[in-house]
Amino acid sequence: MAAAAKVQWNTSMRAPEHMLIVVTAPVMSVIFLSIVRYNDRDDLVANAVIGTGLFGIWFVAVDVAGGVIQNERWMSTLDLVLAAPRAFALVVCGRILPVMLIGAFTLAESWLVATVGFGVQLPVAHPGIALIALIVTLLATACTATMLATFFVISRDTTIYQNALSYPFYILGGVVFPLSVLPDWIQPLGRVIFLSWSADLLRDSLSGDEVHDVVPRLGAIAGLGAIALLLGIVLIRKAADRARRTGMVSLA
Amino acid sequence: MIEVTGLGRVFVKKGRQAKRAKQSGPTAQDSRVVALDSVNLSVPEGETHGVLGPNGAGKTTLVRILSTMLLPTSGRALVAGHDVTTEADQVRRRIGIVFGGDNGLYTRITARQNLVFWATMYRVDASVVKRRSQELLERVGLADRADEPVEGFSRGMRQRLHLARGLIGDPAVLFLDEPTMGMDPLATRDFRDLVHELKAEGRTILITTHDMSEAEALCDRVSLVDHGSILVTEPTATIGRMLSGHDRIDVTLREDQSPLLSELAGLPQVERVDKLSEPGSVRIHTVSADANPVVLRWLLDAGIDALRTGRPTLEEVYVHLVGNRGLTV
Repeated sequence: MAAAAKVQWNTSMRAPEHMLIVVTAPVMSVIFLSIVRYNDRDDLVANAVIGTGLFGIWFVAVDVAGGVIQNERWMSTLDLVLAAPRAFALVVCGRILPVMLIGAFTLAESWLVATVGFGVQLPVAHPGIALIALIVTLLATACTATMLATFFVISRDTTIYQNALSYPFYILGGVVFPLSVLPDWIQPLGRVIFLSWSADLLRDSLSGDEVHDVVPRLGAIAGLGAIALLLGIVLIRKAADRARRTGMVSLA
Repeated sequence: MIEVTGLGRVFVKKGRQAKRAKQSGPTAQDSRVVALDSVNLSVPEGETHGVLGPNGAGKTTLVRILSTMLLPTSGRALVAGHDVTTEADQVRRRIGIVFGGDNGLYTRITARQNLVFWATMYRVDASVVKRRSQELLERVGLADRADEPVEGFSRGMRQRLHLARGLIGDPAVLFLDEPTMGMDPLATRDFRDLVHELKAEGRTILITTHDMSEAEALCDRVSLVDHGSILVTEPTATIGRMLSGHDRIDVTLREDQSPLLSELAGLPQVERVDKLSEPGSVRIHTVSADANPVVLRWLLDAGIDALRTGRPTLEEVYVHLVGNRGLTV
């Protein structure tokens, strides 16, 4: 996994397109914060900042997960990676991990846009909890995106899946607005998406109120991430076996 | 080291391809394509074995099955004693794969970074990854460019890096799929020298190629493949015997010597005379090996001294068995 992370890091350092989110995230922050300002709801600034950050983190993860598979296919390395002794899922997860740092950077950018651009005071009341929640969220994101890479292995065009997998996660993950504003019947579905736990915990860590149930909530994020990784390992293996049966590894 | 028994692979066309196959009439038969049909092959340890055949003959399908990238639909294949279907992980630890062409490498990272990554993928012990990568880079002549991104490499350099990547796991069996495709003559010669070295180390090598001279230069034995079947497997040195048990005589006649042709064809020692593509050149097939000195003496006495003798080449056997189908696949 570490070797794959190094490959991705070295590749991303020479690939300006991987940094695109760093440019678009502040624009998104401006949009969200303008809506908040227009409605005179400064109490929702935390939602806008955290929302943009999680937006960026998830976007980068799905973009790279799909991009990794598509690039492997273009470079004709997908066959070789699948035929190597190491588990391909670990390679995918390893390649997503370093770009999580780019995703995390968007959170910092969003916070800067709010404080410098909009002059909003947004102190982090519980920095320790915020930091741990962010790290666990980044890991869970990489694990979940690994699971989603299964779709990319069996798909000829990864772009469709990349788009389709973005918005449901933003909404069900309560990224921009809390899950509690969604209809009751859909909320349980949101609770199996780690982002909903991450968004709530990160928002709470900014407020001055006491944060309850920190460990169980971190456990939920980590647990859902771990389950996704395990599922990813199994599903990618099955997808690879299917590709070996059909002979469609390179083409999907 | 490689044992293949009754190996078959059928591809089933889906979607539009299948529809097109059905619509294109009775000649299209159905949506199934037989890529390999009951192939039997045995490659002992340390042998360099060539698989030759035209485009679409099934060479790459065979390599993909043996390297666990593709499952067979029938039959069995063992590599280094392990079944490619049921023991794929065991097979993967013992093989190296080298494809021809530009692709198959991470181009935005350096040659060394590529090798380190693949070393990890092949479970090379962490303590030897650095040393082995350096050794391989030196061996393939890329040590001076080791820390440059691969995207700046020529095709020959990329192919040498491919070979280094294939060797990073120190494999007992090496699959080379048209490894010199698109390489210039000098790069091809260097690459072949490297393969000779690997052969001398006792590795088992299966190489697919279109290039007859490559097969003759590298392979102990060759298998000619067409339409998914192995037509013949013979030692490279003696495969020419399939067409003729003894030397033929090729001569080039001057214009003023052309009347001698009918006289030559009438000699009792001459079985037949075939015209060659070069103007004035003919190939004389004698009735037996004993007849050759007699015919040679007759040619020299007639003043024909532009001549050479030799056994049928691998290329001739290939053309004879596969047929001269031009661009048809």
